[in-house]
Amino acid sequence: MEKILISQIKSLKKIQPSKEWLGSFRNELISGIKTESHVGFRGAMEWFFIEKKVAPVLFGVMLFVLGGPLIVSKIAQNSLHGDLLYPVKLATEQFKIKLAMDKADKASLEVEAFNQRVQELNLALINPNLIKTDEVSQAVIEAQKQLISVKTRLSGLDGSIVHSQKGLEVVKTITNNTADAQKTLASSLDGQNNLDPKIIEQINDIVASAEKTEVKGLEYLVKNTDKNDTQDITSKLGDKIDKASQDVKKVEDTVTGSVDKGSINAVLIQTTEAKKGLTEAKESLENGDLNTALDKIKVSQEITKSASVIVSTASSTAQIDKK
Amino acid sequence: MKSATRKKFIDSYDKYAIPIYRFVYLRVGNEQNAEDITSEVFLRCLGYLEGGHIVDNYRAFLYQTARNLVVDFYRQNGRIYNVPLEDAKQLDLSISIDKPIISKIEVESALRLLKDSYHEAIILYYLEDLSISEISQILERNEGAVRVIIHRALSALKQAISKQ
Repeated sequence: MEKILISQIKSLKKIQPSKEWLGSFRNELISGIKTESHVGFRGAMEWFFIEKKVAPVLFGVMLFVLGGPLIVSKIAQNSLHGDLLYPVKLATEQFKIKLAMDKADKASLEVEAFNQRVQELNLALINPNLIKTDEVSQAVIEAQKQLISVKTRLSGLDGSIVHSQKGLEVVKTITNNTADAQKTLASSLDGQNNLDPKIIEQINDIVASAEKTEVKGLEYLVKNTDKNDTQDITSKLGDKIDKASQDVKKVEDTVTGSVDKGSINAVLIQTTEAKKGLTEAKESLENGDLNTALDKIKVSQEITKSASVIVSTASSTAQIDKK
Repeated sequence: MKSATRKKFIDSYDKYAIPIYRFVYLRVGNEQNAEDITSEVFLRCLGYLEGGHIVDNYRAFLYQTARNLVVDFYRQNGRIYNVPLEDAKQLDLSISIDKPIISKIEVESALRLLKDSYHEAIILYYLEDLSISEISQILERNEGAVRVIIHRALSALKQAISKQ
């Protein structure tokens, strides 16, 4: 038994993060270090000539020289995945981020780029003729990568910057845009019957990850917003409670008669717990205790996710049993 | 940051990002939380280096930071574990009466029933093949105590699996 057990422990080595996340986060770390050591023009030039994106940028520069800056920038701005100028658009965004003076500006540009990726992905999903099918998966990867950059920048915003009005505004933009991204992507997935399930799963991952980033932003805001200026954050937390309540209801609605009684009970215990947490969050919010309200929301969300996993597992077990 | 430190830091990411992710994942049981905490581990290490500090042993430093962040995570979120669906599907399929086959999911969920030090000792010793001396650094216990923890942890894991 001991040998089998040890070999099964070793088999857990198969647990690995996704290659996309590993690579994107590595790039973010490298770019973060360079920013500190080679600030400004020198750093930007180094990136321009050393990084992989030189070819499309040089192509853009040629067009820039021959066709004029306005034309090139306008064409590239409207380009989508698969277009010749699309890499120029990405490279221009990254170049701007590189040139940005401080962490808050960089974070602001990253979230702007994420917004762009979400809009492009949304366009690709609602209008399949716009870009080729195989480009959709590329659009998903670009959106995933850009969200990782936003998350990393958000983590990198230290206390002193967040305390400044500029830092707070950037974090507000991040929370607003990541909240919008969740709505946009969730609604663009509606009625997508022919979409590759893997892509649907990846988009759902982006939605979940955007929600986590939004919550992280809310944590910063709760911690650092002036106590006399909490109206905006109170309303955001109220929205989160509503959304979390809807999620609990969705999970309860998915528990059908096909699932075994034990699982139904387990799910209902958890959803009751989640609802109780949300009621307490509402009370804390009414009493002006934003910190407790946010903590209660987070715990309720985790309980709901756990209940949702029980539903999926029980449903698939029921299907296997049927077969 | 000096270029030698920068190189060491990037090398440590290339070498330890996956084991640290795995260590965190097995504690929190969720891919997204594992990614977030792993990112935070490396960002904290970067912040530490940028503050002019020196890291002698990256592996021990990263695991210690990961442990602390997992504790913070539990404090904020409570202990809720998610079992990946594809793993859960394997559960009943691998059970046989004649041969005591233990599935990956059984080990994973039994590990989560152990107390923190047992869980960590099993992962570090059997899964990541760290030496007793390295584990003693990470767990901040003497080597003798670590040996005892590993021995007890394996017995506790066997018991947890047999109860499942």
